[in-house]
Amino acid sequence: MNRTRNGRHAVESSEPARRTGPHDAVLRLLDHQIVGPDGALLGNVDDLELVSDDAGWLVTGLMVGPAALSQRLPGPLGRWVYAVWRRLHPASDPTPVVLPLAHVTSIGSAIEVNLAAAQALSSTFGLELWLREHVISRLPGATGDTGDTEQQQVMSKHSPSTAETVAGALPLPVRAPLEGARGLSSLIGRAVLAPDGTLVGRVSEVRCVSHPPGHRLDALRARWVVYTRHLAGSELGYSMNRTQGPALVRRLVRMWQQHDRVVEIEHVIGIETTQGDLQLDQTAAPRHPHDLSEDQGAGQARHPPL
Amino acid sequence: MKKLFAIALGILTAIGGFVDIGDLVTNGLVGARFGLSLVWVVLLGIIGICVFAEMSGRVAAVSGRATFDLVRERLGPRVGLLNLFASMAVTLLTFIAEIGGVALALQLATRVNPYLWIPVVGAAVWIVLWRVKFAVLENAFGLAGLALVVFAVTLWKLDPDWADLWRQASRPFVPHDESHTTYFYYAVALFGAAMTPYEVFFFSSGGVEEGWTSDDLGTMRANVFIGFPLGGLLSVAIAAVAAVVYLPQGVEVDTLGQIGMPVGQALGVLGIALVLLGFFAATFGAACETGLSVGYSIAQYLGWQWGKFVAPLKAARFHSVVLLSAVVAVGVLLTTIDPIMLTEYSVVFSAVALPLTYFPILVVANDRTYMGRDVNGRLANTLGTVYLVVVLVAAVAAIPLMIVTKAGQ
Repeated sequence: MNRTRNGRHAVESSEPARRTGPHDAVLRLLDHQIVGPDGALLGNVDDLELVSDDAGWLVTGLMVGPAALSQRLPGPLGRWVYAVWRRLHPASDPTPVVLPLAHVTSIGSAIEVNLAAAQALSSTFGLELWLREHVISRLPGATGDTGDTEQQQVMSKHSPSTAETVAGALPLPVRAPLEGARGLSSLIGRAVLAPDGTLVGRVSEVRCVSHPPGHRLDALRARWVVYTRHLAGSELGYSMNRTQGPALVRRLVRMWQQHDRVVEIEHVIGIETTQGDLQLDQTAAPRHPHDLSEDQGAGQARHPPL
Repeated sequence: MKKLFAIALGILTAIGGFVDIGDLVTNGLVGARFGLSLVWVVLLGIIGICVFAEMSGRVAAVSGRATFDLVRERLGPRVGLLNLFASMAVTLLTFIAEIGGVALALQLATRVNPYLWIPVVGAAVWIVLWRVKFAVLENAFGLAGLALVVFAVTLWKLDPDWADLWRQASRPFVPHDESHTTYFYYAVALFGAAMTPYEVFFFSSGGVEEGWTSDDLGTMRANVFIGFPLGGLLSVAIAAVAAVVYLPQGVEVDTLGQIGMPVGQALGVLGIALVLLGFFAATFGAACETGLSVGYSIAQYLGWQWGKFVAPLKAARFHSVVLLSAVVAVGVLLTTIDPIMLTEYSVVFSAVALPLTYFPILVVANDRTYMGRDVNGRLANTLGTVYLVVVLVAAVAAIPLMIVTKAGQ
């Protein structure tokens, strides 16, 4: 019962292709609920860890917590959330929390993670732990096995001393961001220029495939970049799925997003910098995302139109 | 047999739990001023809440995701946050109004000043949210809320000119001493009272609390399609009683006592007892629902553990939010603000905030990767689209109408 309570996913389990097929990082991962094997709610995917390798860009982990979220909130609010998080964090030089993608067991309406990841993640929730200790546990009638003992076991197994924990080490398998890593969100909203320098849109989505190809999900390789003239509404899913109803909304959103285009990531110049405009190279062949989905048979063709 | 009992219980609590302070006040007030000429709006609102609740209940049952989870996922953190602020402001306003309503109901019953009751009610609501099991909370107040059936009995006892009531309801007109803008202002208010966003936050989160799966869709639909319309009929009965008693005399209704008085006149002491029980259960139950909804929405936006299905220590942030909102509600009420006036504003702002959560739910209910074969069918999408237009019109019209009519003066 508990397993299914929050971790249900409608089609995913009967569809192994979802593990290998393309993943739309913004639509299917970003801002989704993370759920443990027992149904525990473990935060949202506040950002995705993006690193470069010889062949391009990899999504290697889920970033969870106020530090990651603050980067995506508008200006002063984001800075304020980040500053408060930094000030209140027990560690002297806190780092954002990253859960490596290898610990994700399924991607559906929720992102399910394994037990070790669940225990490690729940020990990083500073506000929860503080309120639990200083407020809620002092109220009469506060009940509940918090799982603290299990957590401590996990922590003591992995982190040799408490001194290290205080210094900011995170309980495995959770870790700090990799060297040179950044949030996928640093790409979203960046201006995309045509080879001749005219503005053609802003990045709205990064489409990925499993890496290495196969059933084990160690990382996702970013293959395509989608850009749009209107960021508003880009997460509704209509530019990825041409049959999603209702008809009126589909038609309006499609009109709104008719200039959405997708290009292979190799053809986008400037991704290695964290800000500034991106530019398409001369050989880029932008297409509408629907055309790409059809080529890949990304799950839409199976369903008859409404 | 057990399943049948569960369905019957669900329907009964849906009926009794439908009416809250917003329905009580708005229907009483509108009945006294406009007769039954605005009943069409109540019916429009009831069908609307059925469409909305069925979609969000289905999404919750199939995908396990409640409303605000999906709001952030589909609108992103920035727009999602604006949405959260707006929806929370309205829900908190409703929460405050409900607690004020409980205090007013207790004042009617005991003649003790409501300001003495307010802290007691705030504490009682919090204790219920802190300790009482979800199912008990939902069923107890829902069943007690059925006492409001006395309004239907009262209407029958008053033996009004049924033909005249039918004429008012079936051929809507603007009374000659009222302006068109006031008429439509109260139309928006009635719509907001019937279709309040918190009802859907609570309904979908409650589905997750009770561990619904796709097997429970039938029970869920029975609750929505039988329980909500019958509960809505209680709203109509309240408006009709006020129309029969107060409209001919041109009396303005602006207290809870006035709304309940005709029941006492028609049915005596027993009627008074039942109407007070109904008022208390309806407002107290809704106070619990709105209080939980504040916690649900904030926790879902941020991905925190929420809900009464886990031990309180596992959801410390959620329970802290609930506790804080109870403290804030009592604090606001003790500034001697009028709960009835708060209610009138809360229903209008409900109409304003409604599209913010309605639209993402409509989109997700169409997403096959979540919903599989339980996506919106043709009927759900037709009604869903019609109501998307209706809620947008109501939301856009609400504020200008409020300014033009000086909030219905």
